[in-house]
Amino acid sequence: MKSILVAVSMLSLTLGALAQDTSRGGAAQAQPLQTSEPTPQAGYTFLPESSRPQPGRVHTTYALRSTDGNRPLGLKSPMALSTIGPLVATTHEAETPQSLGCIYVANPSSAGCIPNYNPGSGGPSAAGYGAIALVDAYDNPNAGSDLAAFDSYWGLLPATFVKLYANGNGSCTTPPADPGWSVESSMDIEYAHVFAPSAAIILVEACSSSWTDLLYAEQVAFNYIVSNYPAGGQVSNSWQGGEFAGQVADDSFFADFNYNWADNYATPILAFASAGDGGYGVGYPSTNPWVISAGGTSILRNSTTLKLSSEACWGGSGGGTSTVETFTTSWSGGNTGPWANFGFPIFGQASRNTPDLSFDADPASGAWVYSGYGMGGWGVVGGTSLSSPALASIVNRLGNKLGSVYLTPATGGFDWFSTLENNYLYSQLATAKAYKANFYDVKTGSNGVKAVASWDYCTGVGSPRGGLGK
Amino acid sequence: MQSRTVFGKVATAAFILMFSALVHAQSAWDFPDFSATQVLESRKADMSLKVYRSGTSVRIDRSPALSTLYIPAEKEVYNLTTYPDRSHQCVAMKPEQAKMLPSPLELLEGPELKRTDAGTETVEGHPCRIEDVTVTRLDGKKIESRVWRAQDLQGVPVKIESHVGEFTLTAVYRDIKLGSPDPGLFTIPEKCTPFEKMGQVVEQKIIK
Repeated sequence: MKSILVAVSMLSLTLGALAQDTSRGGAAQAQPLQTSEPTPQAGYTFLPESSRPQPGRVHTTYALRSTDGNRPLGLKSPMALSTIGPLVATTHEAETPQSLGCIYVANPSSAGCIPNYNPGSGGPSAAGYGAIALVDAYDNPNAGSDLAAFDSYWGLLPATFVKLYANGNGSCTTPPADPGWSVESSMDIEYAHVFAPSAAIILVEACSSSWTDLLYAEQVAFNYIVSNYPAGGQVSNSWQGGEFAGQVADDSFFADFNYNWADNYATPILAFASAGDGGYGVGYPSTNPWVISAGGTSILRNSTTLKLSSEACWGGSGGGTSTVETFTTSWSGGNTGPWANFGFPIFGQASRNTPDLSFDADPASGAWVYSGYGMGGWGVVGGTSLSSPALASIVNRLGNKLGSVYLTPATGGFDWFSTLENNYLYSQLATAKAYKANFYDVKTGSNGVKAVASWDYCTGVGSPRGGLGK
Repeated sequence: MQSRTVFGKVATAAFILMFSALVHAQSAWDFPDFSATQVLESRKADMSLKVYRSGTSVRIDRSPALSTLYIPAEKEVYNLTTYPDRSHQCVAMKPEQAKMLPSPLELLEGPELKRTDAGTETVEGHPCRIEDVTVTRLDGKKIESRVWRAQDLQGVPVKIESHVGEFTLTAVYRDIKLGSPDPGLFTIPEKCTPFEKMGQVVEQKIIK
């Protein structure tokens, strides 16, 4: 039954990609989606124009939960999905900071982690260090006030928020505002804050969605953390474009080469990237071997009690094998850089496979996001755009300070990775006990390739559970 | 009489050694210009980068898209980036802002340099003279290194071991080519963004 529901959900999203976003003057009128098997459980999704792949630019990786397939209007407050659509009984519900915190960092069996939509229902306890940078395109003029509204409604802990324009490359003075990307950046900063309330939230806005501007913004993000947060942190990228031949040369933009010789410390920074929302298939920078590729799951609940029942592969989750990033083409070739001692056979000494780790991304079980400029209020948003900042935040919460390059005083030597984070994830697959305790092994559903025990092309090693193994 | 002769020989040898050390003290490097593949050794896996030295300047190609240019004479460091659309970007920074993993070659430069002979050894197939070096950096920090200079390659370093705090950074240099690198590799673009202007903070607050 579950697999049927997931399959329908996947079909719904696929068809959702056909919907047209008219918010930016597009001529095509949005059409309500129809699935071959309409079910209230699957509901509808709406793919904004910013999430539609186009040559020469990157795109966001989110989709909106819609009651009719059209762009949903912002709501005044979060509530159960069944109260805002034609849904009677559902195995999916909109998730909240409280319910996601319960599933991923507390105890998923705790009263079923049923979403509580009341104001002040809270989220994970205080934790986190350094900063989490979110790299996005265009300006979100309400980003700071969105985070304030989000925190205020749920009663979350205070946040240190910084917004900066990545405009030093001369592409713009002020990035133009964009509603589609504003939903993206609102979700990014809100869910980066949820799991690591003590980490500073840094929104880095690129002048446009061109590769040049986004890759420049990536450098700005890394440098800002290095210069201002010696403890380091994470950089999350909820966007992607297609793979291209020269991308290997750009891999190092996502790596952490810093070392402060004057003060004798390295600032550990780890990059995350969405695996994509188009089902089986890959994109960049998700396949960059320096980054943690964030895949997507679907949270399934008991239709009567709404207690958590299981987590399945989300049909839209990206994942696959890179045709560009291989052991011999990456970096200087061979066992160096991100590939150093990449022991897990799936990665091994072959091609980069994605994703690495996963998190809720199904728009049907999407999370409540507040975006004043993007949606005019609250909306339910999914896609691996949710996975990337949330996983970056969870890793931050756990105090993981694995950057890309570090020096080890214990050995007096010198080590490389980014892969160490991935090696750390993958190394636990062989240790059944640790794996079972630290991860949820997603074995159901398909993104074109069925999820199976251990690693798979939809969810990687699975999704986090508790505070270990990340 | 014999003991006096032995004493005299020892004293003479000691004098020569001291004199030799004094000659090196405070003296700048006399490396010829060269290019090489720098292999940073690590506990897990080595890492190769292309390096170029021209005069006292050092260029490191971290990837075909990202290079760093150290120009000690100007007390400046430049990051040169090439993007997928072939556009270029230059960021200029002071050495203290260049918080990035350097080349040990670059760590050999500073306003104050003290070099001392430390014997001979064959490394990477090259007969080498070893020098112990103490560099006082612009910020006053001292970095101690040991340099193996190939006698058959006009004294080009084939190995450098730098001690910074509790860390040791070791690099060996292979595929060494003597001669001046393409001057274009050391040409600084006319327009470089100052490091502190890479981004512009437009909002900063505590949200309660």
